[in-house]
Amino acid sequence: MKNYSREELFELAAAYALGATSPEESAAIEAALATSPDLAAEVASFRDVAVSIAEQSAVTPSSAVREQFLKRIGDSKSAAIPVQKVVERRIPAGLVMLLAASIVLAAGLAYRNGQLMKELRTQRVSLDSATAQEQKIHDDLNHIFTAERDLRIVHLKSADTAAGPGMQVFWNLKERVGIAHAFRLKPAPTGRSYQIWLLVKGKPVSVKVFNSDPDGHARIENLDLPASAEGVTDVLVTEEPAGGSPGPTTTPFLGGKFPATP
Amino acid sequence: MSLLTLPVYVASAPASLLVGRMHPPVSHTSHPMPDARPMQGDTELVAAMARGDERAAATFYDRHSATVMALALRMVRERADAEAIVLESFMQAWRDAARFDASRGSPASWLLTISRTRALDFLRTAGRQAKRSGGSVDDAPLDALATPESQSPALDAERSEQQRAVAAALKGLPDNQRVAIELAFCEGLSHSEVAERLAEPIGTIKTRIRLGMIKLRDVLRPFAGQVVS
Repeated sequence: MKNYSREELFELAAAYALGATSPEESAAIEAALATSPDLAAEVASFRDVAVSIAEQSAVTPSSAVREQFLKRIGDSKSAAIPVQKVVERRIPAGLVMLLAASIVLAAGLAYRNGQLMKELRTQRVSLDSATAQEQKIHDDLNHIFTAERDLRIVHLKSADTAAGPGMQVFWNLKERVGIAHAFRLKPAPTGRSYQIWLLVKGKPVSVKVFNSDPDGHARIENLDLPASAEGVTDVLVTEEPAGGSPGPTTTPFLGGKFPATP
Repeated sequence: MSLLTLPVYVASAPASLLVGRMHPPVSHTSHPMPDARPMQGDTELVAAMARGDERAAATFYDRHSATVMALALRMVRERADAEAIVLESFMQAWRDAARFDASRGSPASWLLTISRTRALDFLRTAGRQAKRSGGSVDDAPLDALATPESQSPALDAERSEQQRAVAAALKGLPDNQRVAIELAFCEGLSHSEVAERLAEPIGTIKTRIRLGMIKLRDVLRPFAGQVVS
């Protein structure tokens, strides 16, 4: 829809008062009337002109029209009045209680409706958040699957290569996107967490702090990867205080060599 | 046919009279519900209608039905159709009285907007406007707006100064402005339809309508506040 300037709306005011504006123009003026007293006054002044124009001609309708009008408004009133009288005169006590119960029920339903609406809004927010998260994972996986020669996969192993924990890191060098999957990794003790490090030219660079699920798995997205893999030789995992550390404070229990080529 | 006018008050009258002089409804002298409150303004009448006051509705009808009828007749051409529009317009005014917003205009302009919308709906539903659009501007005399349909010299004598001024201003408008206003207001055409009918650019029509309306407003300005609303 076109955005009308204040000047354009004022120029349309006369035609609007005559009912000659297009639906779009009328909608624009009506939307502006609430917030523009000047425009409202302009339109009202032209409407008075329209009334004066209309007053220049007068044709009396037949008296039957007046009679019909008065009969219909009388009927519309009498259709409402008896209901009130019936309520006043005939409602037994039981019905009054039923009405009262209905009001209480209606109030309860209204309250419950409010609660449900609130829950719905909360769930909608959660759903939106989960949807966005899933979309991000989908996009990241897509980046991994389509990385071709830009993909690097690092297999991290523990001392117990047969039954101990392990991890795989998938890194799209070109898109700077990485996902890791840990397995057989017990959740970190209370107040502790795991931290992934890249060893870049001999120095540890933090990539992600995480914890595993009770089943020993962890899917770790949004790895904080450097712009380039230059100088990266190893990927390591240590146990750290919850929230991670600026540098490793324990000996790595998982590690793997970063491959120079796919 | 007789001429009815809205309650318009003489500019030079003392303040105490500005709420007292009103043209009585000419053709409803024997109605079962006479206008018992000629002093009430239109805004008060609409407020009373919102409270379900039938007498107020009758007074409101008596004041404005002839104007509404004239407008409806000019738009739909058939008397029976115009009377149906008058009835439905006043019924809508009765039902919607509580929603009347005085900040948007006078009750008379509110009622005319209702009536005009009803007439346009009728024309669209019946597909009659298309037939009418083939007609010539000559179908309606150029000075139609400036020529009251009065057949009562006595009532003419009572016409207010304001109405005479508006009539004179309408006569004084350039023909092209008056025709554009008439086609828009009295025939229910949009300005693009007016442009098409007159084979003129739409910008020209918009300008003509605006200039004409501004001239008429200037004429009305000295009377501002003297019309009961």
